[in-house]
Amino acid sequence: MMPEKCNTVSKTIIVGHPASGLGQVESLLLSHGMSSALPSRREAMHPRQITEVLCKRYRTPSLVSVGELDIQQIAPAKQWDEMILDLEIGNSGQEWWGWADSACIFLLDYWRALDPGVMFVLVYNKPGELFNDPDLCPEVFDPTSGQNQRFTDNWVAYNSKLLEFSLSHPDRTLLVHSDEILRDPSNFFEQIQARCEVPLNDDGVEQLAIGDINPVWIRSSVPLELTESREGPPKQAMLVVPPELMGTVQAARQHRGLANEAIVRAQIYQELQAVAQIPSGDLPLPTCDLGVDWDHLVAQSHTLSDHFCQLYQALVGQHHRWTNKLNECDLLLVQVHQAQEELESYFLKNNLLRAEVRHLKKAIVELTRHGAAKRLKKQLSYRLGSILVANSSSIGGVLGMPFYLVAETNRFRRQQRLDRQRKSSKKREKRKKTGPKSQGALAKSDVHAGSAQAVKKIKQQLSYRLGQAIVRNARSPIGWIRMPFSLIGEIIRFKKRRIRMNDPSKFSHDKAPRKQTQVSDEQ
Amino acid sequence: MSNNSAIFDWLDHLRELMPVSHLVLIGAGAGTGTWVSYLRSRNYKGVTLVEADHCQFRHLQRESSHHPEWHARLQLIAPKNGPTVFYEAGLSSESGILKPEVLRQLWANLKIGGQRTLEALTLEGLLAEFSFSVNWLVIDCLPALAILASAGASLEGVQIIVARVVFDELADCNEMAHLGPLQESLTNLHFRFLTVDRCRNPGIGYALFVRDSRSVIRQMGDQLTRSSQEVVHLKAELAELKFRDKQQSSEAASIEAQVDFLKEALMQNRKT
Repeated sequence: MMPEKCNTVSKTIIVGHPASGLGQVESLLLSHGMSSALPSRREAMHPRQITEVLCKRYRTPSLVSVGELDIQQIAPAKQWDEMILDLEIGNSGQEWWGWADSACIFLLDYWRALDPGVMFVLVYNKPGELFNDPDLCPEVFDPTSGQNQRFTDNWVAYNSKLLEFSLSHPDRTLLVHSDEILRDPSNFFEQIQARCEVPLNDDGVEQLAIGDINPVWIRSSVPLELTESREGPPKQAMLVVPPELMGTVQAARQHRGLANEAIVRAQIYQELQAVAQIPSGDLPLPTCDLGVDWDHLVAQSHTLSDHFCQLYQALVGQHHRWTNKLNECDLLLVQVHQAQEELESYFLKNNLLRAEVRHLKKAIVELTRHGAAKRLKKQLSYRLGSILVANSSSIGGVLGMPFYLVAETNRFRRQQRLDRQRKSSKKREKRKKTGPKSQGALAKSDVHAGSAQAVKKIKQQLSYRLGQAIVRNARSPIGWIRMPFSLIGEIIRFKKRRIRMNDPSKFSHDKAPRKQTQVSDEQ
Repeated sequence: MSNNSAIFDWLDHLRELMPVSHLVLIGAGAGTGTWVSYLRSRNYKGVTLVEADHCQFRHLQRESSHHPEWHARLQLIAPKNGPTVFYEAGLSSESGILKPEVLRQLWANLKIGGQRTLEALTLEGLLAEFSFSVNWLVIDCLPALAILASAGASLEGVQIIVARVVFDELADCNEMAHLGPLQESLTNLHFRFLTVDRCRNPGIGYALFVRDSRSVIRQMGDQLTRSSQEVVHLKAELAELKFRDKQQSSEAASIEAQVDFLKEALMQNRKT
């Protein structure tokens, strides 16, 4: 039954829990005809300041921590009525004015008794909104700290009082759901118009946008380092269950406590919805299902937690195995690298050795090629011939020629003697070792092929030919007499040969050179 | 009803005078309501919590498991045994055998949920199942009178009754939920109405009844008086019967004497 229309309403007091959205309701009314409360004339105090003073004077508890037993109505003494009168005088020029004040919960009876022209708009909202208010509820709170109990008690106490007052004085109150008003203000204005005659301007009523109402969401952190994450949307209360409570009896008890508190809140909310003049059109909050769903959630989270633990164990085990395998692979890789490096080093050494061998072979070839030539040059005949050639260009050389030749001959013989001694000692050492013949020895054919030409060349040299002539003729006294002629003959033949070689056309019918017998150097 | 309700103070005192042997709470809800909280806070032992809604019962069961001497029972209590419709209301505390529509004057926006048919048991049947005596009874559902009426003689051992009632000013509501008829009925059963406590909704409250010993004694006295009168009457009848018997005995004796005389005379005649 609609209460009778009151023609004497001049002010509206909007009362609601701080998280109920009463500020938005006030804004809505202010934008549609209601004037904002002016300060009192003498004291220049706003109604909220007056409430604050009275609450301070009568020592009311803080609104955010108040419990059921704490919400007692204040009965200010008569002396305070003057302050109210002053406020009335200050707002006397306004036809309809009002304000929103959560602290008026302590003064509901006072205002109701004092002024029959007061209409109370009692505002409530879903319990979950409590946790979305960043001023009331911290971003993250721990169920073990008792904060949830405090919030529940506070919300339940405040809204119980609102409900009680509304039921006791239905003619003076309008119990409304703030979200529903914002969703459809027209219904709200109709209700106001039906109750009292106020200059409400409901033209162009627009539905105000309501922010996303995020319900309390509950996350339980899984006891895994890999998946633990504490990211969440800002300014939204996040109920985090400490990991150490998961899977314990205490956890279940704590969780059940949270569910109990949720059920109590839901019960009060249901009663508000059942009584309100403008209830929310949303689905009703389940009460007992919360406990059941919570238990299912807890059981599910326990199962998930166990499952995650098993997966984690398996993952850790797998990780260990892989790590071991990786280590083995690394070791193998290192070994392979080492082997590769060794192979490379051996390859390089091999190359170097090959190069050395080639070089040595070349040297040996060169050596053997020129060895014969060298041996030839070491022969007495060549040496004597060299001395002859060297000393024939000067008179002193010619005069000392015999002495030089004798000295060279003595030197040659002395060297021969030493070589023989060295060779005999080497032979003795070799017999002791009795190693096989060197595999790197040059082929005889290669030696002869390389050195024959060199030998031939040397034998064509004047020094050698003169030396041969000396050695040949020095064996006998007749030879000594023939020696100068023999020497001169060799010189002439040498020159002719050289001319022939330079210009073959001049000596096309030359005789073949005499065959010379190689005199043994060892004589 | 708040946690510091006057009815609780009464109960705290009555607990000293009439100690609880066993308490039955019908309509315990999810275990978060005022009554369960009160019983928990006062550490009552020997409590049976009865709830018909299986959803609320599951939570209630878990709550009662904390107390070793508490029991939870999923059962619908109704005036008659057998299938009974259970109505689910938008306000879970108003779910029961009473149609939610009749409570619209109390809860203007009360939404009606579904309805189920459950196997109901009378209060007498419930109390008979207990091996111990139940002396405290709390009925936190409507209509309390209909439920109590089904108790019959089993209420004789009950000393305290707390019943949820609707106050008389709401005439549209089922009269079995009203305080007046309940008060009248329980007075006849020798219960004395002590106090009433209104809930947040002033149209609903709880009424406290206590076994009226003086009434019982008075009744017993009346019975005794009647019995005494009956005894006197019977005694008088007995005396009269005895006198008649004596009279008849004397008459019989005289007749016998006459018969003997006549026999003798006859024999003498025959001889002669």
